[in-house]
Amino acid sequence: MKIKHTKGMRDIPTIQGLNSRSVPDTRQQAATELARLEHEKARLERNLKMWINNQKKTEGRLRQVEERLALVQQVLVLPAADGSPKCVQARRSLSEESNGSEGKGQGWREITLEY
Amino acid sequence: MAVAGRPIIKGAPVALSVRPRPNFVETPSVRDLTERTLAYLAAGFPIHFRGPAGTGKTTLALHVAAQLGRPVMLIAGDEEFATSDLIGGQYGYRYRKVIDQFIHSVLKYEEDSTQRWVDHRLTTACREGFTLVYDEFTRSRPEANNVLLGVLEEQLLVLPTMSREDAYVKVHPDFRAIFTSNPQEYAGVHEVQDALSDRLVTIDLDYYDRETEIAITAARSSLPPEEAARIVDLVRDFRASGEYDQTPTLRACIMIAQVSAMQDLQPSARDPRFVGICLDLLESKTSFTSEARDRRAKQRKMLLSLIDHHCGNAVKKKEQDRDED
Repeated sequence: MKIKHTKGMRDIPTIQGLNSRSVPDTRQQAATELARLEHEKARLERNLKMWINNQKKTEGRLRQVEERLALVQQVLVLPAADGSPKCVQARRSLSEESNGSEGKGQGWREITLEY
Repeated sequence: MAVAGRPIIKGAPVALSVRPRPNFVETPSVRDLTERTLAYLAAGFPIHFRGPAGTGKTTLALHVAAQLGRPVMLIAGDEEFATSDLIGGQYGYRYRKVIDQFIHSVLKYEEDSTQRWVDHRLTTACREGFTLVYDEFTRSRPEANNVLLGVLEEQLLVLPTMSREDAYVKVHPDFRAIFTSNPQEYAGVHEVQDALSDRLVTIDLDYYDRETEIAITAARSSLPPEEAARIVDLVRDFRASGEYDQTPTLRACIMIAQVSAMQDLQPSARDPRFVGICLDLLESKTSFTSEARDRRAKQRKMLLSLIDHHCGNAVKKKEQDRDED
């Protein structure tokens, strides 16, 4: 079997050309390609892991932005009935909702009067 | 009226959630009046309860408001009231400052201040569809109540121009108004302007019938009805005599009955403490002047005879005979 020596850079198989390349017919070519593919596989796995982490981070950040967006939108639609800053009203309204107090998301407070 | 609730938090408007006391008395006459009033309110007409002191105008107004099931805004008329006390006004300023350095070499600097508008009770009631109870509204000067004309007729609250963007507030469909006034009162009251009076359905209230007064007195004092009846009859006879400057009302009955019940007294002419309470509470209905001394002496004599008539031995004997039968 004739051994083919590498003469230049164009004889070194690259990752880009793998798909269109024929199956290597020599042991040396196969070993070279195998080593290159294993490296490429390891690189892609690292990439995938990084992208999955990035995706998780981005999803978390997106959720935060959406919550903030809802909060700011609520400030815009709440009537400034008492003349206090809208952000104060929004905070009050949100805290009343979370505390389950008399406000219940209304723009007023009720006290009981017996007659 | 008893008010219960959390301490007031500054800022949010406060509405009343009205409900009857556990011992609230609803006799057929009260029920009939309530139903009649609710019919007018359901048709969208504001109600005006007019009557002398002690006829239960405010209580009836609150009772009717409670039936509507909406939060209540209670306003008490006052000479010092101006339109702004009803609708709100400009209170304080709101400052805004923007420093924009989005491009580091460009500094954009803006600063302005606007007056802050605060809604008062009428505006809040119109916006949110509350029930407005305007108690003794004739104590406010007529010009202060002018803003009500548009609210009651055109269903539009006109706010002072240039005050805020929404100078007109469309009145909420659930908004209802109940007014009370005392036409016999002469201290600190004003005439009602025709334009406002014409928009109101006025119901004249008189003193309640005997059964209602007995039921209310008994319920508010925990006295047995037959003992409450003696006190009510005494006060009603005194009222019928006309020998007073200030009409003795149901409040006098309740006061006598409550103090008697607390002191564990029988409404009896033989008990000097009970007689003393009656004299204290009923004699004060005549003005205290040196010229009225003779009149007061006559009034005392008449009161003692009324007490003897209603709470004396004759009544006790009559009740004993009735029990034996």
